[in-house]
Amino acid sequence: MKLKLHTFIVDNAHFAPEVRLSRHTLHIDRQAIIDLILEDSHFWGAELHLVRPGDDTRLINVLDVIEPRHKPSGPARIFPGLLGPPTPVGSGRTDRLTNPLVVVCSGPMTDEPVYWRDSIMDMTGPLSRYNLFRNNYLLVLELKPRLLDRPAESPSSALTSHAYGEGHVQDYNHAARMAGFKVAEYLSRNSGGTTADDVHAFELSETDSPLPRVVFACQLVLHRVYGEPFGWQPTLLHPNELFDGAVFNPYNAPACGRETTYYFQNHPLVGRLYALHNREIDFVGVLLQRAQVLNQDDKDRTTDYSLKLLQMLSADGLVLTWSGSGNPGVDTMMLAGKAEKAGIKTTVVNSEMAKYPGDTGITFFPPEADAVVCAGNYEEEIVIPRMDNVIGGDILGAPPIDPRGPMTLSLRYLLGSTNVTGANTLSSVSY
Amino acid sequence: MSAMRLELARHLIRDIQLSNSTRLVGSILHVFPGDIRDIVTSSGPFLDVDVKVARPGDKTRIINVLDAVEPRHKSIGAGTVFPGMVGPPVSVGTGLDHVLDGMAVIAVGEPVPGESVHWRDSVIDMWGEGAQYTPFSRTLNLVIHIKGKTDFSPEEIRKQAHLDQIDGSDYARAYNFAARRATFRVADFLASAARDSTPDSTDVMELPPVSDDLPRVYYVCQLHRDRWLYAERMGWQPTFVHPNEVFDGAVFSSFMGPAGSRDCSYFYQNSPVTRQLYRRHGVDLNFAGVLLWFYGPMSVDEKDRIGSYATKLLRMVKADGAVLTWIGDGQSGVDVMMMCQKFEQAGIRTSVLSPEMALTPDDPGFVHFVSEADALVSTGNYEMTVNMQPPDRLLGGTHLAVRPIDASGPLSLPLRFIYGAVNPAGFNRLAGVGF
Repeated sequence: MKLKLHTFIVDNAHFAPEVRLSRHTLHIDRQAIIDLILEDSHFWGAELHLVRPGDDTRLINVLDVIEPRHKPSGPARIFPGLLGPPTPVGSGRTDRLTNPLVVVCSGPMTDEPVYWRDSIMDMTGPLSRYNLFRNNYLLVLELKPRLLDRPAESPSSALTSHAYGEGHVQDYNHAARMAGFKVAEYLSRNSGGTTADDVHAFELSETDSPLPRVVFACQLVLHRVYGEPFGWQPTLLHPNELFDGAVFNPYNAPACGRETTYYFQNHPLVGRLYALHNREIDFVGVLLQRAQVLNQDDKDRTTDYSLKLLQMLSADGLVLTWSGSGNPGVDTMMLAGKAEKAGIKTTVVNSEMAKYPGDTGITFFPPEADAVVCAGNYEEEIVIPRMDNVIGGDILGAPPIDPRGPMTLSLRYLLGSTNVTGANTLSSVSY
Repeated sequence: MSAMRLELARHLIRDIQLSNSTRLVGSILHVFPGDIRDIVTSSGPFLDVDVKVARPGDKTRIINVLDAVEPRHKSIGAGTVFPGMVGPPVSVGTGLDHVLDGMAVIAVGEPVPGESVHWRDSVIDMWGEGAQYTPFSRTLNLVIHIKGKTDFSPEEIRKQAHLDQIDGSDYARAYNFAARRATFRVADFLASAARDSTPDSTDVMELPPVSDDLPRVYYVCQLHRDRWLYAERMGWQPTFVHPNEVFDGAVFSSFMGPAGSRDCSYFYQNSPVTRQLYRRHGVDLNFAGVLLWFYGPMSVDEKDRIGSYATKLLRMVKADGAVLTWIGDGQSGVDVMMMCQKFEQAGIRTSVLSPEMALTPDDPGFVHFVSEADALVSTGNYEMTVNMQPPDRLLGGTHLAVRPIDASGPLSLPLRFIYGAVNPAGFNRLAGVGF
């Protein structure tokens, strides 16, 4: 499976009467994009903002960030199963624009749990160092939900899913990502770029000599694969499929660890494993495994199954990431412990949740997990300074306060600040 | 593939006798019905169970068959047989299982409220014409007739509403799942009686590394609706399983599809395709594993998603060949041909084991056919009619379910009604001949 990624460097963007890429500047037709968003009746309106590097701007209620990509030669489209049929992706050609990234913002729905949801990005000031997109042009879609979707018979007090929200909430959060995907594909497809600035081929060729076989295990929660909710049983994925949007997260997990689609499209860990392929390692592929949140039997079933697949693949090494909170953290460490016991050298990338000095910051820790990369402490307190220009809403959800600040919150509120894809700027030092 | 080693210690059973304690004496299995009753009634909404023995050649007819299970008990190694049903859902496929060879536990029972009876009827004749077609006329059968409770709570009555023509009511599905649990526990219990006995023979199931020059072959096994992997419903995405896990009962179905091609647990435990691939491992092929996939979706997009995913997986593991089986009806017959086409187009040589559904001589017997399917093994025509004489003894009920026909009389039925007759697992006597 060979994917040729054609990169078109864009270093400026502005609104114009038509979409066109010209001398590294992307002209964006505002009305065409609003029309595209409003094809979906989940939205009664949408505001577009173009945010530039260096703008004194704070974005809140950020749900997702997406890089404009499309597949020019078909039949597959990016985001298979979402924008088109679930045609296999990961081969052929994919075009990408480096700017502007499409940012999806939308305030919480009625019946949506908000205790994890707040998500902040500062383009300037001291917090911008946590913002992985501060050097990008951002096309912000501020979506206005229609409020008619809530079933009348379900009173707002009857929140049946404390973590994910009611069905109509999940439905809306899915639709919000879809709007971002459509716009991202539209920009790339209609930019008219013909000669790429860079072409890179991704292929897991046979290694020239036997090298340690390494698998990347990617933990999913409510993620969808080829547009469908992923069942309990772990399976394999080709890394190229990630680059074409075969996996995405429709769920508002804690912002610091939330995987924006951009990081599946440009997965730094996968990129690193690719770079080491046929030099130091034999990169076998990606193991997808869903976190189990209900009981011990479910956790055992899934982690045992993952281990069995690793053994069937004759894996020597494993890089394991964790998709954000208590229960998934237990599953990650269980698999790390089992893999090490089976002789598979395992590295875990996870963030800490240490609120107090005596708190280890890890939900569960087996002694076998002896190679843990810390991606930051998500409970670390930070002072958020005053920023007058806020896009994405008038109020933070939990606690309900004025988003302009100043305020003191934990790192958990900053989008992507402790994410485990290898993209962030934080790490820890051992003493 | 890494070495996963499972020993199957086979104890040949020459007779089953009902007795006042359960034990294995030489090659005679003594069964205390009270033990069976205790296990069954503690496994689900069951009031009672009738225990009978049916031997090859008896003028006995068994109807309303739910499942057939070979008694196995794991005495060494992680987990239990039927993980998630007998013990916790931890990975299995290693260690040592005691196997009671030559017998089966046949679970039978009448349909429960809201159950779909569209396909459900399943008949085993232990003698005569009907016995020619079912594999279970040749096993010693411990028939356990499971009787469901009859006083229902308002919640249960609500769940008995028959909402789906194919799947039946929620109550019926949960009931049939619980009936599997009861049957598996009985099978595990019976084989535990062999724990201290010396087996007649032992099969070692292990796939050591072989020459890279041999073609890498996968068994690609379709599962039906209500399919279970480690006792948990399998999601849409295909995945790999080690064949030894299948021998240990990690895969089963609780769906009452057409009896002739129903994937009963006995077939998974003894999968002939798998065992044949084992025999040829290192000889003329490299048996690289089993790929499980699930049929059932009604839309072409969903079929494509599953078929493409399976093809991608086989390419990632560098498969050269595949053996495909499926569980027969309409949708699943389309899926298997789409799968075969995708495999062949990806350069993976594919054989399909398939029953035919030819009602008339000019009917090709396939729901869907692709030109790439150039290596097909017929496992029999499921519309072929069989004429059966009246039995001396009828077990499992009194009437057929789909039409209230008295089952104690002569029956003239298509093979679809004969349990396991045209199963594509490879466990039967029928085949097609090319002219």
